[in-house]
Amino acid sequence: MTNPRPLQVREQNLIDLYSHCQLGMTPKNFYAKWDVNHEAIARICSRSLSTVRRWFSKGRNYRSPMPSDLRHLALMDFLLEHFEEIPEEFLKILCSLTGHQ
Amino acid sequence: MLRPVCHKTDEHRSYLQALDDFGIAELLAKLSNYCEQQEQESLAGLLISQLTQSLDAELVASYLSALAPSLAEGIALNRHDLLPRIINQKFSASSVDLPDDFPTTAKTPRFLYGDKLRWIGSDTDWGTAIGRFYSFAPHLCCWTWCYLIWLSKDSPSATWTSADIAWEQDLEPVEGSLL
Repeated sequence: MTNPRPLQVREQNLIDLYSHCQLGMTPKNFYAKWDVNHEAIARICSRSLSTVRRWFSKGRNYRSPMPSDLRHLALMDFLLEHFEEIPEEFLKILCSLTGHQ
Repeated sequence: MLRPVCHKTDEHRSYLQALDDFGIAELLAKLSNYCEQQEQESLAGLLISQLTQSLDAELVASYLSALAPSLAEGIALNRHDLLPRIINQKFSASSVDLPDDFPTTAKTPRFLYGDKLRWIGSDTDWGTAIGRFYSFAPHLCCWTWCYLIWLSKDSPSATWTSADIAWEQDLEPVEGSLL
């Protein structure tokens, strides 16, 4: 097993930036922007359909998504928006089953 | 003033849905214990109008701060038991903090680990309770139990996720036919 990589200033700054990042997109905004159904949103957020339907309910049936759900949608929005600008090799690393070793 | 609709149209269904969403159907049902239909509708209109006029700005501001976690999504101000709460309870930002007297005053959880549960009003997902945690529920403006549900393989959502969380009030025991 190899030792963990030491952090340089720029990596520490990056972690700081990420941990304070207010990245978030509401399900309603995502739904309005992209032509997706509730199932797609459920897949993006790793949630059940039953939960996602409540995000779109009105009145007393409404339930709010968790901050992690908002971040999932914001990241997906970012990827969809900047798909063409992301080099293919990066996309492969991002979405490979084994992850970035 | 509420106006009855005579035809079973999409518009009518939306109308009924709206009555239910915003707790008006429940208000009318409760009023039916006291008076006739015509009076129910008049009284419902009057009570809603009174609430509108008597809303306290400070109270609403405190309530909104307690609801802050859900502000990004818009706010459901119409939970059926909200009316007595908003009138009788002063919310503060500290409402979202874990109650000092936890677990003394926490309600006993309704469900046990291993219980077969499904989402109320949903014809889709169900599963087994495998955990729970106590958390602030923005829609109730109080702390309550949230359950971790291991989805049954029969649940459509099991195709992409094995588990999800749900508030206690959104769950009910599964009837025998699904087991």
